[in-house]
Amino acid sequence: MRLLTRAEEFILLAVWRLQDDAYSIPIRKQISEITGRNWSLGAVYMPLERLVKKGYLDSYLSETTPERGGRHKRIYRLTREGKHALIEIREVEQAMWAGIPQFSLEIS
Amino acid sequence: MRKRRYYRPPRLAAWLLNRILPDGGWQTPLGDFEEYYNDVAAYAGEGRARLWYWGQVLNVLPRKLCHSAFWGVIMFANYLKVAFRNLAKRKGYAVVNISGLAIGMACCILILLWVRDELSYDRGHERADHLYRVVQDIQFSDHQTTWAITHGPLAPALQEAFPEIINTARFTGSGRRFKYNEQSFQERGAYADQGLFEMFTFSFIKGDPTRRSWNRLLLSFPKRWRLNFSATRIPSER
Repeated sequence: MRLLTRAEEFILLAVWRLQDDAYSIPIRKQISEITGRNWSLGAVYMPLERLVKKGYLDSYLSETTPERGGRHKRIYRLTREGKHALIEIREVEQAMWAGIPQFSLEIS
Repeated sequence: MRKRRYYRPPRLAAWLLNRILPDGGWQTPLGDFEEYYNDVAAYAGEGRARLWYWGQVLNVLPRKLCHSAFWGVIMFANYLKVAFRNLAKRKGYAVVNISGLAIGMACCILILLWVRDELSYDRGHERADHLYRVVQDIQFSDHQTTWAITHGPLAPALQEAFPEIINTARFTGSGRRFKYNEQSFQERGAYADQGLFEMFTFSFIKGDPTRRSWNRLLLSFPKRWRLNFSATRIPSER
C-alpha cells in the first residue's frame, strides 16, 4: 500500500462523508470541528491536490452559484483506489492496535 | 441552503488577489475564498473577516514577487542559452549579423556625437539664442568652399544695413609675443572688437568686461600665466 499522511487520510474520510458537498470549505470545516484545531484553507488545498495526483480522488466543477461571486466549486469524489486505500489503512491500524490490552490505554 | 446576508470582500484586496493569481484554474479557489470570507464574516464579524482576507493577500504577495523574480531570471538564462546555441550552430550567419549590427550602431553613435558637437558650437554663451556667425561661400574656378572668414568692413556695413542686428564682433586670431618687465611670452592671442565681450560670455580673471576703456589692450590670461605673475600685480590694462 502507498502510505498516506494523516492529513490526507482525514481529507479522504471527509470527502467520503460529505459526498456531493465535498469541496474545500466544508472539508476544512469538518476536519477543524473533529480535530478541534483551526485548519487553514491552504492546509486543505495541498493534500487535496496530492491526493488527486496519486489517483485517490478525482474532481469536477459544480454549477456556478451566486453566493461565491458566480464561481464554480471544485467538488471531489473518492475513486476506487481511494476507497481501497482508506479500508486498507483501517485494517492496518486495527492490526497494529490489536495486541495492546485495554487496561494499558488508561493514562496512569 | 438557507439564505443569508452576502458580505463582499474588501475591493482592493480582491483586486490585488486577482492580479497576483495567474489566469485560469484559479477561479475555484477564489470562490472558496469568497465563501470562507462570508463564513467568517457571519460568525466572527466583518472586521475579522477583512483582517483574514488582507492577511491572506499580504502573506502571498512577497512570495509571489520572489517567485516571479526567480523564474524571470531562470527564463532569461534559458533565452541566453538558446541564443548562444543558435549562434554557435550558424557561425557565418552570426558573424555577418552581429558585425553588421555593431557597425551600424557604431556609425549611429559617431553621427550622434558629431551632430551634438556641431549643434553645441558657441551655445554655451548666455545669449546663445542671439548669436549668429557670418560665413562666406568662396567661388573658385573649379570648386566652392565655405569659410568662416569674412572681410573686416563687413561687420559695420551689415549693422548699418540691417537694423535687426544689435551688435557685432570681429575677431582675428594669431600668436603674439608679450613682454612684461624682463619676462616675455609667446602666446596665442587675438584682436577683437568691443562687441566680443558684450555678446559672448567669457570669465575674466581680472578686470571688468563691461568697462569701455580697455580697448587699448585686452589680456585674457591662460591659467599657467598666473604662476608667473603670482608675485606681481596682474596688469588689467596698459
